[in-house]
Amino acid sequence: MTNQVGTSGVSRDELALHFDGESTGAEAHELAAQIDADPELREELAQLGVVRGLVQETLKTKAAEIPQARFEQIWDEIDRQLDREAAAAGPSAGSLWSRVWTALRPVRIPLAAVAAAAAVTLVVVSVTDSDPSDKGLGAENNPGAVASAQEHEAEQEPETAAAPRAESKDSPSTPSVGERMAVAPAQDLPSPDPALGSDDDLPSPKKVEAEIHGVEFSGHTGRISKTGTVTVLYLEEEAQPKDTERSL
Amino acid sequence: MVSNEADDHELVEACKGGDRRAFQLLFKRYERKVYAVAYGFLRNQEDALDVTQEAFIKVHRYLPKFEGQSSFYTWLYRIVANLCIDHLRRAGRKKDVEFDDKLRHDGETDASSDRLPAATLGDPSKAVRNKEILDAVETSLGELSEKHRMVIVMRELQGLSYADMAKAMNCSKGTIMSRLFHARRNMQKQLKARLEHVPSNTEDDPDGSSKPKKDKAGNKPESKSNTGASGSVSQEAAS
Repeated sequence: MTNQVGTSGVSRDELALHFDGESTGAEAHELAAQIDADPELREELAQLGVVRGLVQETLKTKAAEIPQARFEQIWDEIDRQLDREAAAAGPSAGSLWSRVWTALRPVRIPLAAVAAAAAVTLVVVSVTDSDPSDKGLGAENNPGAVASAQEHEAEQEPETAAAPRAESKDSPSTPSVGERMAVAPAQDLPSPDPALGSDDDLPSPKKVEAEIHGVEFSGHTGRISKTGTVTVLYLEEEAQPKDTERSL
Repeated sequence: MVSNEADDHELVEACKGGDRRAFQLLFKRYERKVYAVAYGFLRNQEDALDVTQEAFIKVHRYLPKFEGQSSFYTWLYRIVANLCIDHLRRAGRKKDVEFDDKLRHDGETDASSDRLPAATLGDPSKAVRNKEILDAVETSLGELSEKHRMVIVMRELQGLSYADMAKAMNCSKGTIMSRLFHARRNMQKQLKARLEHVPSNTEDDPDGSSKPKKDKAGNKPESKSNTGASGSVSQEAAS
């Protein structure tokens, strides 16, 4: 039988099994002893080793020829793809919030606008309530809302100064939404006080008509300005944790 | 945050927790190995790079389901092998198998006639510094049928078991053994044909700049004279 190596009685199948670590136990020990004793078996085994070594080294060499920058480019592609997949999966895939978030997708922007209007109402209420001459919107009527709004306004005020980019993007003269929303009875609204032009003068106790100049909810930020002064409310989605570190 | 020296298991666990940097470390650790495997299968640089990218995206996607029953790289290599097989199927790059896989090789000619030339013996990493040898191995791989090349790459480069290879190629272990036997024999034949004129002194001539040499009588070097060297290769490769 020519499948045998020389006169050893060992078949090439057995030799290959041994070479590939597929023979086990007593069979493996017996074969190892036969190989030790037979130069022809050793030569046959050596040939298998040469092929393996050459294939490994050749492919390693081919891989080494690829510039590192090419792999960095591939990583960037992978990184972007993973970001896309994470965004498509929503804030927390599979959770109740995720399902609600997905279900609300068609009405997210209108809801954001309503929420923004409500926030503006709170702000206006708080502003007007601090005016002792205003009887209709006094603190006693809604103390919780006023406190909330005042706190909110106090928190947001530094943000106004810290967001010059947003200010320049949507100047009052070019509103991106341009939707005017009445937040108080028109007959109760006095003309905007020119003195309210500076942030230093806030909070102002004057009732004014709020105008939404821009809400960019899907872009994670929103902005509401009020004629004569500026009140910035940032609406932020819960950001996905991101690690876009370019290199290690 | 995991350190750069963290082992695969630690990196995998960090990845499962959403650590993108840990995944980048895994990528950097295996990028060239994955590419080498893909190139071995596909023999096309851009295709191999595409598969590398696709493989890591798939790894990230299925990492939460990876239970660690096998090592990470075995799992990774299986994914790469499957992607390459799919890629070849999609591309319809079929090439006739030169041997019927069902045939046993009882009737084969004596394998000793296909002994590799002396130039290929010794340290393979030094041998492939000779461009002629490198090119010969690459061309010989390319001359194999796809099925033979697959088993060669899966076994010799990836170190997959016969069972894993059978699973990846959707065939029996016996078929894998047969394919592997024929693939190795074919590689030996191809290499012998291409390299028998190449001198064996690759260590003195690593860049392969010298021309093929013959002795004064015009005889070619005999591989049998380097049996000792080949023995050391065998031990290294088998380990």
